[in-house]
Amino acid sequence: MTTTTPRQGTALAASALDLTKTYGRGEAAVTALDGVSVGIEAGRFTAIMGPSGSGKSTLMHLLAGLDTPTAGRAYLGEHELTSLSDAQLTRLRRQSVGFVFQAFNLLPTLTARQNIRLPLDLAGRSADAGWERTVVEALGLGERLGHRPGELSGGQQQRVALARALVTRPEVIFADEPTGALDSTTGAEVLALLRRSVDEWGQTVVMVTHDPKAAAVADRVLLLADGRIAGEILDPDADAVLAGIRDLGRVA
Amino acid sequence: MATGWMTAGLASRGRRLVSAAVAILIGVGFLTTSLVAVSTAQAGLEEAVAGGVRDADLVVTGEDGSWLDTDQVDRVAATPGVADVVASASVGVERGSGFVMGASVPSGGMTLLQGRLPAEAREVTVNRELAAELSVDDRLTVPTWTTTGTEGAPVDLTVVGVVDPGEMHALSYGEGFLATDATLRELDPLLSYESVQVAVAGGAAVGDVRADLQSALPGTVLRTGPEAAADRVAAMTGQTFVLGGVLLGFGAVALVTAAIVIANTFTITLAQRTGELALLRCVGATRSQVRRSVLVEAVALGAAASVAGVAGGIGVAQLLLTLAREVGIGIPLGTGLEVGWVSLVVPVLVGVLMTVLASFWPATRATRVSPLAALRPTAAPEGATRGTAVRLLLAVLLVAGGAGLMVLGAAQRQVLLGVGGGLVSFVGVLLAAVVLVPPLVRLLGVAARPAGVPGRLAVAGAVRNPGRAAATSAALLVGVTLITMTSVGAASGQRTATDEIDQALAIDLAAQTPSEQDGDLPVPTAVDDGVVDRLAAVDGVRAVEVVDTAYLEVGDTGTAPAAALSPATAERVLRSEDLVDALAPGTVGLGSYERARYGVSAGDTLTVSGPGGSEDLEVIELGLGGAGLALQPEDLASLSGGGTAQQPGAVLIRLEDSADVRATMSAVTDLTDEAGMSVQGAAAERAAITQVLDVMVLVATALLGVAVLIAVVGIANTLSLSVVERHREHALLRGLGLTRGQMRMMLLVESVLLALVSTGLGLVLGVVYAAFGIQTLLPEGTALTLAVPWGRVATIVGVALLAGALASVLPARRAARVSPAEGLAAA
Ligand SMILES: Nc1ncnc2c1ncn2[C@@H]1O[C@H](COP(=O)(O)OP(=O)(O)OP(=O)(O)O)[C@@H](O)[C@H]1O
Ligand SMILES: [Mg+2]
Repeated sequence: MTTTTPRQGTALAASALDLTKTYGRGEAAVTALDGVSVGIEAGRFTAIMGPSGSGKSTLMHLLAGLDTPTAGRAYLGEHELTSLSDAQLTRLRRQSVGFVFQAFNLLPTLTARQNIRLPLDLAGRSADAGWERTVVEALGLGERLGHRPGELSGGQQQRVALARALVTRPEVIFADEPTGALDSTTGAEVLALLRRSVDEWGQTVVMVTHDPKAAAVADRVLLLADGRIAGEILDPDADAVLAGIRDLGRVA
Repeated sequence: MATGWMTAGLASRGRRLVSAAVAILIGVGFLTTSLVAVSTAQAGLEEAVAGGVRDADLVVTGEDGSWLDTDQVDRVAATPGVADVVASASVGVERGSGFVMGASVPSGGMTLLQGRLPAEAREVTVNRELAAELSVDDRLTVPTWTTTGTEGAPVDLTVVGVVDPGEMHALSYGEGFLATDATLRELDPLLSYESVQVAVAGGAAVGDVRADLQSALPGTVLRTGPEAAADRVAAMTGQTFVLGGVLLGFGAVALVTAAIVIANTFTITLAQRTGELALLRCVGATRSQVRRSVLVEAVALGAAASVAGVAGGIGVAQLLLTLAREVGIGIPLGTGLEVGWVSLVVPVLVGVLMTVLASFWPATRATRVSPLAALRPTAAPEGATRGTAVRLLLAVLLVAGGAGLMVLGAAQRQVLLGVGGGLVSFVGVLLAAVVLVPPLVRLLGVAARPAGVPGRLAVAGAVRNPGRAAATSAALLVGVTLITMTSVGAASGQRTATDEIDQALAIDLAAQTPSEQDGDLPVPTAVDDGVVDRLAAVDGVRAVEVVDTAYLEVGDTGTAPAAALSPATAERVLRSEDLVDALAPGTVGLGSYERARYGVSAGDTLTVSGPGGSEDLEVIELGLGGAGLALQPEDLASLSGGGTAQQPGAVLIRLEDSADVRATMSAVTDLTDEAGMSVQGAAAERAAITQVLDVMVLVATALLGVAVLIAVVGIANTLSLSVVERHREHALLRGLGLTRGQMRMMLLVESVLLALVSTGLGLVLGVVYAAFGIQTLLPEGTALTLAVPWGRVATIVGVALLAGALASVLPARRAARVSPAEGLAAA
């Protein structure tokens, strides 16, 4: 398997084809995603926005191979995810995907360093020492590697999670409201790091957020409403994003 | 009042409490089975010894257990108001080379298998043993006794039926028959009777008849039927009492283990509910309301599980009864299952009480939850607190105090002191488990390194909450310690016993030829070579050595056989290396019987002389049984003067350790009988001791197995509760690339680590307790030889590994099912 797909502007790191996800059955059925088709370009920073319950997390989970769709197909690089077994999906995740979540990102029993190396250790790979040092220093974690999550602040914990996502050089990093639990300064710090990983290291990043200012950092904003793609803003600024969201409200 | 919110917890958390319920169920079930088994055995025994007597109006017996003669029985029958008498006597009559027992027809407890009971003179109903040779209408000719005790004319008896006498009758063992009183008196006119049961005539008053009998028969004891039955039962109950004590002791162990599991379950579920309880406190629940809600839960759980346990226990008892009847264990089990109210009510009470007591501490802790805890997202794992320090101090004091008591008990041979010390110190160890278990898990965890990340996570998970790890291991620790103690104790006891046998009789089997008379000195005949080869070929025989023997004069007590036992020969046929080392020229080996006979002990000098001369030899402890004194070949040759006085006259045989001793001995005896040789040896005694101890260990282990089973449920319980708790962590791990297999491996390692640590601790403790126990039980001045049965130790470790693995199966399945997306969505 080749993991070093060339990161040209137009290549797709992940894509969805008519992706549908329904939870529950009969009367209680909820259609979280309703035939979404979308492509995530490699080497770019994509933000996903939309009202609560619009299916943002669901879309992200399906693209990342964390969950299986009811219908449609999801691709990660050239891999069709729905055709993979659980074991294959798991291996693909630890190799090609990085995650940063809103909270509860780290294992409390492991130190920061162990948390960062966890995906590599699980895959039985050894860390690229140079790259690991670069990431850790860029994120300002050098002093904190021996600490456990309980001894770290929220911002530091998010940076450890980001370091963990970066250290495997995944094809895509998925971040679900990574700044949701942080104050605005710390949140801005984390966003700057995500931006830098795209600009300096050619990383592909997909981020779900409710914050227009956060979305403005991305190259492209996807708008989601009622489980459908409701719009797209390229090279956004905060005002454009706000306007887009207001339009969404009108649609809904 | 228990309002809705108090009981709502039980319904919604039912599944989490399942394992606690299972622990209660097993413990209570064990108790019930024990109680039912004891009362059933008791009832069976009562029925067997007293069943017939109970219905009699009056029972006449001799004073101080003396028997009645025929004249007294006749006078009973002749007393006015006596309608009928059943007198029980028995007589032994010669038949061929053995004896046949003849007995009166009892008033009950017999099962007629064929034909009928004897009604006329010279009719007999035989038992099954005799029925193997005789069938109905056959004749049995037996000699009679005369009044002077000499043999009289033989009589012909006619078989009219076959009977099963039950387990507690004169005919229960060996060949025998039932006959009328007249027949028995014909066989032996001097017949004596154990007792006479009297049926009082319709019109007569029992009291009057009793008075009349008393005056007619001075020197007898008169009792009513129920009185006599009660007396007989009282004489028998010692047996069931011991059985009851043993079973209830093991039941207590099972219950203690269950209590540990229950307390642990409540602690964990309550810890998981901290937020919920805090919320209750926020909205105004008082401390005592919170405590009551937990205790209500405990009572409900305890009651439900105990009732189920009683039902299960009775079921198991029924199963055991059926099995015991099938196998025939020698206890009368004629009656059905005896389920008294005691065996129904007591286990339920004990179960509920135990559950409430076990949940009391967790409940009290739950009340300390501050309302503010509701606002904190998750409770941090508790670290070392002041409580731990106090607990530790207490543990050290208990262990030290208990050890002191055990040392004192061992020094003064005070068993109660030793047992008390053992219990006290064990409680101390259980308390100290909080600090002992986590480091041991980490130490053992090194071995889990090859399992990679799952292994490392497993170690971290196992020690994450020291209190929980300790409580989980404690349950298994109880069982393993006791099993180890029993095994090591029995093995050491066996060694001490066999050491004693070695000193008395060093050889498994020694066969010796008859002697011929040559002048005034007997001379052994030579062993037939063919016999030696055939002996060597017998299954179970390991080594056969032919040795020279001669008859020598020992002091002035007459002649005795002596055998030449060179060290090389001894090495092949003796079991004890110490004995082989003691052999040297100038020594004479004597067994304990010979030492007593000649009045010497080891180190003394014994003068032995023969045709070749006389020598003063030093006595060593080494008995060859019938083969005689053990001398060095050169000593024997010089004493016997060589020549024809010395012959290869004895065969020394050593059996395989794995030999079926009974079969081997009977094969050997057949051969030697044929050759006219006599056999003697320690093999039978050694085998008997080994067998008794083996059975004892097996039974104890089986009974303690129940405690181990409960402990395994406890491990599975802790693990599955942890899986619930770590739901999100597991989801995160799955998201980051932990495969399902790795997840299962992680829980497997966690479980096995806990199981192995408690097993290791249990093994160490068991050996230590066994050492103290043996030292306390041994007579003063005996050296302590501790034997560790490595095979059994390996089995215990193997079972613990297996138990740990099994305990992880269900929790692991659950954890592997965690969907990565679901767990994270809750974030
Ligand atoms: N496990 C589930 N079972 C049932 N319904 C679910 C499940 N997960 C999500 N849903 C439903 O699917 C819809 C989309 O959920 P999703 O989590 O994707 O929304 P979201 O856009 O991420 O919302 P938010 O901004 O609040 O995080 C919602 O209506 C939600 O209730
Ligand atoms: Mg979401």
